[in-house]
Amino acid sequence: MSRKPPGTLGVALILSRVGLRRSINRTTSRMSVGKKSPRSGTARKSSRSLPILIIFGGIFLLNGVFVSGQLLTNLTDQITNVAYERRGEEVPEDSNWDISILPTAGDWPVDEEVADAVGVALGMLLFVLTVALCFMSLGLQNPELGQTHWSMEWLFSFPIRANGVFLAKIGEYGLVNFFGWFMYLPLLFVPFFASGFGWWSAPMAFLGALYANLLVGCFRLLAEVWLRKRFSPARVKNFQALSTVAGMVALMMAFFVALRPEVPAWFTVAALDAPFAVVGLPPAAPLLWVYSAWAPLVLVVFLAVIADQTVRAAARLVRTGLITTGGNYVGVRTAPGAAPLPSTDTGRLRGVLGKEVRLLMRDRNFMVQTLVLPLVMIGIQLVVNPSFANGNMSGPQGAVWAFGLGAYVLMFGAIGVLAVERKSLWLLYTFPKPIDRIIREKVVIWGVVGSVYVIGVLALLWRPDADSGVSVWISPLLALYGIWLYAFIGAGLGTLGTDPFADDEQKRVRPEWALLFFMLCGFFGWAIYEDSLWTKLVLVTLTTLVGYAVWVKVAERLPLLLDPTAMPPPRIGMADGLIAVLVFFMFMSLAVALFTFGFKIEGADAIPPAYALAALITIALTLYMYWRMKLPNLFRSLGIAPDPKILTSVPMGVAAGLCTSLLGIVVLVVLKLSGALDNLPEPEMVPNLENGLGGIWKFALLTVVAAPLCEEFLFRGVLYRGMRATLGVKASIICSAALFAFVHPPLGFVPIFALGVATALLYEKTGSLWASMAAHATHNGVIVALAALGQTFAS
Amino acid sequence: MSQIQSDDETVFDQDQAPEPESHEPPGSHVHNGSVVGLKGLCKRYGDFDAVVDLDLEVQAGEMFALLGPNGAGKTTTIRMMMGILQPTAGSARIHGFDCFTQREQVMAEVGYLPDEPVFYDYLRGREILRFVGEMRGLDAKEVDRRTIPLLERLELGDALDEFATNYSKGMKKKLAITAALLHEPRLLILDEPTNGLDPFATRTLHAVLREQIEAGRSVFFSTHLLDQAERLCDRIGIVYRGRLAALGRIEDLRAKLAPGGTLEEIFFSVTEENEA
Repeated sequence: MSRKPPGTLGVALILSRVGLRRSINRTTSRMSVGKKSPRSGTARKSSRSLPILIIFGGIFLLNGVFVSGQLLTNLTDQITNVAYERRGEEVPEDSNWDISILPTAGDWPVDEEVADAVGVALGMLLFVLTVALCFMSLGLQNPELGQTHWSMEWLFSFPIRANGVFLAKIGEYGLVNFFGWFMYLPLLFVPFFASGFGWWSAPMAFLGALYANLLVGCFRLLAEVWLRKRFSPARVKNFQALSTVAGMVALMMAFFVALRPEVPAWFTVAALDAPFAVVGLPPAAPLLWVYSAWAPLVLVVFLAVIADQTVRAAARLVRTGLITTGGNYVGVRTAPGAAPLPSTDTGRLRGVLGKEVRLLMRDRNFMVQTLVLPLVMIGIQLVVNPSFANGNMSGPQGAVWAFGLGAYVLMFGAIGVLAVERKSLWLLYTFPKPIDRIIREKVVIWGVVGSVYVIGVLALLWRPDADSGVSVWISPLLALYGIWLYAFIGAGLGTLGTDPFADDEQKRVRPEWALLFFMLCGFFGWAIYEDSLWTKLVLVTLTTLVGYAVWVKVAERLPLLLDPTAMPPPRIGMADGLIAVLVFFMFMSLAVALFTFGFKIEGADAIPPAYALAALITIALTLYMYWRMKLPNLFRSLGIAPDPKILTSVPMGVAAGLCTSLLGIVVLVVLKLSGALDNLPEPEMVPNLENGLGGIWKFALLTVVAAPLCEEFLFRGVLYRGMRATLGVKASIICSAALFAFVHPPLGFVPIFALGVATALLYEKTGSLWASMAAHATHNGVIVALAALGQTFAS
Repeated sequence: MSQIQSDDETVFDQDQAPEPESHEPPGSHVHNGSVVGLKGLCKRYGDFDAVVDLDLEVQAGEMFALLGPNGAGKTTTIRMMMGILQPTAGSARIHGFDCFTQREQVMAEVGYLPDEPVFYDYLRGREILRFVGEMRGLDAKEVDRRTIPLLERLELGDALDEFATNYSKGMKKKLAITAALLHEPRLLILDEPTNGLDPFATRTLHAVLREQIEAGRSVFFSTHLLDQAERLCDRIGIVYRGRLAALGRIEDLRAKLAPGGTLEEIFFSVTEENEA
């Protein structure tokens, strides 16, 4: 006698519980410490890192809030203007806010007509955004669709109704739609906050975003079932490609309206003329909360009806079975038992290159995503912004665009260089060739493809200035070099971030690694854009070294890639130091922006707190990474353990610092005498001493305490230590000192290089960083004291 | 002068100390004719010991079967021999080369058939064979010359222009066997070779394996089919819960463990003995 199977809600509940269990297991098996019984869930090694994800997520959300706040201000201003003009009234006092991260509570327009129109405008944007997300959920964000394998097949072998399975799927799709969360949360939070809900706006925005994500989930489920039911996987892939393009166009439209200094006039007029009922449409309905406390009820009713109808419709679709279409891509089969025909086609490209190109040409969805989408983006830009091609892109700006577009292609192409191998990766391991070399061969494809885009965009946008001479060619050449360099960096990072065991296609390349790549691309964009040749050189050198270091790490990791538990021995590598330095740079510029715009601290005063904050975050992150990597003797390896011989090592450091500062003074005097210091711009960092010595203390604290602590940790503790493992002692002393001098202003190159050599030698000699820190502090102290004395006497 | 060096040995060792095995010059290991040499081989996943202290040797021209129930550690052993997994302790050598640190040299001599071969989505069977050939320096004509007779014997010829994802499990296995034999390796490593093959293909495969031995090459395969091992091999090893429970010529084992009995009886006597 068989028991009664669970009903719709029961099935949904069971599946959610299983899903939850899975994610709990995934987390706990990695975190558990102490004794376990044998084979009670062996943790797989992972390349995921939570803190990076949290930091990036936070930055994205903050940025979203900032952008949405801007949008709301612009909308309010412009709609007010148009509305009052129509009524023939005087426009009231401008309520423009300053640029700050949070909107001001109570900024929601008071005038009823304006308030309604702002709601309608936001509603229209939400609508377009939801359409974009719906398409994206079938396209770019859904690599699973179009695969032959469908996870639902197994679930359908149980004696349960399809409705429960579908309901659970809607929930899953709604919750894991990260892109949706990042879009909806800020866009809903800002109007709630502005209309005076205070911090309640956060949970309200969460509920609103959940609702919107679930709507997208409904669409995705129904569309998936329909496509799978109706078409063969190869056809579905074509739909996918089309959805990606459609979604991108819708998204670009929303961005075009929202992300510009001024909202287009037609949009404000449309917002005023459209009926208020637009806000009542399902995708815009969360906004009703601004107007009425009954809004949650409306959302619940909408969601219940839509989900119910979706589930019923999907169940109707599979009434005749889950799968009715035939096989996958169909090749040619001759009659059974026939003799095989000899090979006919002879491709130009052989080996792994030939294979890769063949695979790419056959994956239309991938081609569209990677190769066609950038063209669509440029096309839209050209249509909505015709001035784009009219010459104002000459100079570095055009080169940055060219590099950016090429980098976009790499983002999908080069990064996936290992992930595209999927489960066939084992085959590469059977060849008598190092895997990292096989993978590197494939990067050539992306170098070539990226170069084609760079050259294309340059040809379209970039015109050399006639009067600038040879130097005008620097930026386009740099863009071209950058694409090749970043093809390698992207492939390296993609390889490090690939989980070859992940079943879920989407999770194969960890998003943090793609984000890291994105960030590094930003550095190179900066290098192209930057006027100062010195900074250009520093950034290009640093990124090139990162490329090299990443591949050192890749070569270390690849042999162990298919081993589910073995990791390379934990150690401080060269890539770590370089990335730590770059990350410090990034946090530094972010922190300066935060203190300048967020807390309104002006000019040089923002530098010390920004430096401290950036240093703290970078050091904390570095320590956390090594701790998680289980680096033995964490503090001692990094040279920051208590040193018993501190009484001899610190005086040694002080002596060394005195020597290098003496050298610094000599160089300074020579430069002064030679006149090289005469027409220098006033350095931004040195505080103005005309108002007394008050400012000097902060500066001294920065240079004598904070800088030695942080820079010795980064440049000696991590960078030198990491290089030492790869390059050996002598080469690392010179390289790390050169890099150290490199990131300082060019005039101080010689003394700072000397300081770098001295501190590295001290570290080598004493085995801890305290002597180096003492040397660094002494050096900076002497120089700063002299500068202060000089200025005091001068005034 | 370096204080770092003497001060924190544990870390520094991993920085610059050579790999434990590599103080022997590569490939110079005298292997007295043994093709496969596993010495104290261990593999641990987290807290679970998958393979413990495995010692065995396979001589040139020998067909050796590793027997054992599901989850005994057969595939883990084979993957360590292929350099895909890093041994937790001990070493696996093939033709004197270390399987993990000298993987490339080992692969030049080895043909491998995994238990469940997976191939690229968008490549036809023929294109996969060509790719494998190119990666080993063979051109298309040479690939055809070497594979077509075998493909005909395995009755895969008609599906050669079909995408390999559309193959059934057995067809994929046939394709992978063809790919493994392509470069005429001196050692074949096969993980459950006949799993999923129909009786015809199984018969063909057995014949192919015997031909390999006749040509002076060696075969190492894992299986849980006792009669297959009995029919093909002289010497077998039985692993049970990661440990080698028995090793030797079938007759010797029979005499020792189950006089007059079948291999099945030997198998049960070994595994149940361990159970107790």
